[in-house]
Amino acid sequence: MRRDQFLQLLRSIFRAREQEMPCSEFFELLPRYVDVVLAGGDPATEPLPDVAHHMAQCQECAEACEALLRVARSAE
Amino acid sequence: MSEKRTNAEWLEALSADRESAWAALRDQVVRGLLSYLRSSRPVDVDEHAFPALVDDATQETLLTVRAKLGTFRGESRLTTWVYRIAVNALLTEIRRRRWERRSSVDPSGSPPEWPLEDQAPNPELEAQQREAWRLIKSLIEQELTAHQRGILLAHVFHQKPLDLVAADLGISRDAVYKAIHDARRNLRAALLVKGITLEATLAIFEGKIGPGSGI
Repeated sequence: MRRDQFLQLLRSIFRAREQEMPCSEFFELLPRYVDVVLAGGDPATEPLPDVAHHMAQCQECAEACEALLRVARSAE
Repeated sequence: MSEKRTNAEWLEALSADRESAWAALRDQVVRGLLSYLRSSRPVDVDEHAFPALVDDATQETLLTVRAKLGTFRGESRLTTWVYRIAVNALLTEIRRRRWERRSSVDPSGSPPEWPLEDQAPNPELEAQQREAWRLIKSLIEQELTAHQRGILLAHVFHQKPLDLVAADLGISRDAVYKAIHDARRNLRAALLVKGITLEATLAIFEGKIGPGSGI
């Protein structure tokens, strides 16, 4: 395990909330989140705050968001 | 150039099964995925494999879109919704290949004696890091259920993809994520009971502590 991955594990332990959004709900909200970012908006002002928290906790979902931003930017 | 249609126009054309609309959507997905692969250059994926990888992901995406078009709720651009399906298909395959080439899970189901690939830069710091890890390791062994521990080790320590962990256990990805979440909550509570903070543990493992300090 790389040191940055281990530090991420430590941070994710202390960031853990009582309730967290599951990946399936994240995937439902992700396109809206990406549209807001691409339009230059602030997702924090949208009803999407848990999306950012989920990405902080789930590396795969954060990778998906990064990929979706790149795909949406370059596809159109 | 891409097709600049509104959601209503896309929905109308795709629902009517217009070949030009499906072809336009396919072109946009292919362009987006290829561009992503060329810019991100994922490790373990040869550049020569990009076209086939994109082709497979695009095919899977269009099949999914055909099956699920009726569930689109209009909360985003339709194309962003489609790209999300495409990204999921592509990343799932990349992670599967990466996992097949690289890793295995320690069948003992125990945390490793030392979790990191590297060592601390000096003996005193290394001793403090090893002492801190021994504590965290003991909490992983004592405070987590076997289910939580096995999933945490497989995904977080061995980087086994969530979808593959789920498939092997015959449970959903959400159930895998829930087990990891529960493991983190249990570890957090156990660490806080011992008066151990994030700042203290980060300081030790980032090497930002002075002589004699520790947790």
